[in-house]
Amino acid sequence: MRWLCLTVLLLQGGIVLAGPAEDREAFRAFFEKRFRNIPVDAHVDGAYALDAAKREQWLAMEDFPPYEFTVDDGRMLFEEPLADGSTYGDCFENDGAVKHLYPQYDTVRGEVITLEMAINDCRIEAGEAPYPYDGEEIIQLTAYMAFVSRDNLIDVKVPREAEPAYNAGKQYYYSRRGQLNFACSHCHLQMSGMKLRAETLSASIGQVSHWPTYRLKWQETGPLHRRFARCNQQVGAESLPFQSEVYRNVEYFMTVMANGMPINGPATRK
Amino acid sequence: MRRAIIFTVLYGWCLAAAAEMTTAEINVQIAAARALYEEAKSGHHAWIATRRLLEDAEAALDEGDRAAAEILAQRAYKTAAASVAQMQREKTAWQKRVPGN
Repeated sequence: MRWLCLTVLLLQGGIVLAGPAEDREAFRAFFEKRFRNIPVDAHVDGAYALDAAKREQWLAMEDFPPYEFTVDDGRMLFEEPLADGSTYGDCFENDGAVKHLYPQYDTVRGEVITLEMAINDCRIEAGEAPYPYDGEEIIQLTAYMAFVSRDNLIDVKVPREAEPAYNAGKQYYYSRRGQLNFACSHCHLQMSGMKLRAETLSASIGQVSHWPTYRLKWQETGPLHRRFARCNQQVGAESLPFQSEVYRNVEYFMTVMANGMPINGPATRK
Repeated sequence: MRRAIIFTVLYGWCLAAAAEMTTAEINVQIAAARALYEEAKSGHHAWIATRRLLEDAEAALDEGDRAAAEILAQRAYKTAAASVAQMQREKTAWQKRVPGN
């Protein structure tokens, strides 16, 4: 009886949050309805799933992908022995093909661990200094690990202890921010498929599948959190440091929404 | 008539001078804006515009341009207050944007 009363009170207050599985179902249903002629999993290609002409140009570019050297450099780094003689292969199974399993929630540390953090944990354990999160080595390594993880389906778990982190990421994603008063969801849910100047706004679902990404605007391969920071700045909000707790939680939420979709990173985007 | 005009001009000038903030008052305004900016920042809702206005207000004050500093400090305060209001509003408003809600 007490639980029933509490549930009624919570419902009245409008503070009941759906769980990750229900969220993902509703998320997929939203895009199925919005883009009836496009299979949901095709959104891993971002705006190129929505614009046939641009897709053609993009596919031509993929013949000689600009991120190729980054992947090659990442492979060399991955195979190089660390200070104690171990390699990254000792930390990551399947020769590093684990991108689809990150981010993970570490119940002992009580926080979301991204692939970048796991790489640095591996380095510290081997007696090496951690890489800076905006440095090229971590991008090379994650580019290589994304490459060898291609076609693996994203499978990120949300244990019960992780729900506060998941919900924090979810709240951030849907909250208006900055002087322009935009939430991430305004561009990538409500206005997905529409034009922002000459660019088509990609759908939110599957956006995490292809990082790190070579952006023509950057003229280099960069991490997902760099894109988060730029999104913040574009709406006039102060951005946060790469791998900050907030950005890791947002990545966690977005990746859970993309569960079941294939990894296709690294990629090229405008 | 001439005396009346001179009196009106002088009176207006005195009013304007009286309305202009002192350096100490501008500093108070800047501090109040900064406090709101930090409050918004702690909730990840700070605006870039506020930071830039605060920097510009302080620079104007350093250069002795009180009139500009006053306007910039007031604008910084307004944007900072708006960012805190946004933060408060979004504590619940975000839920309406979740598909399925």
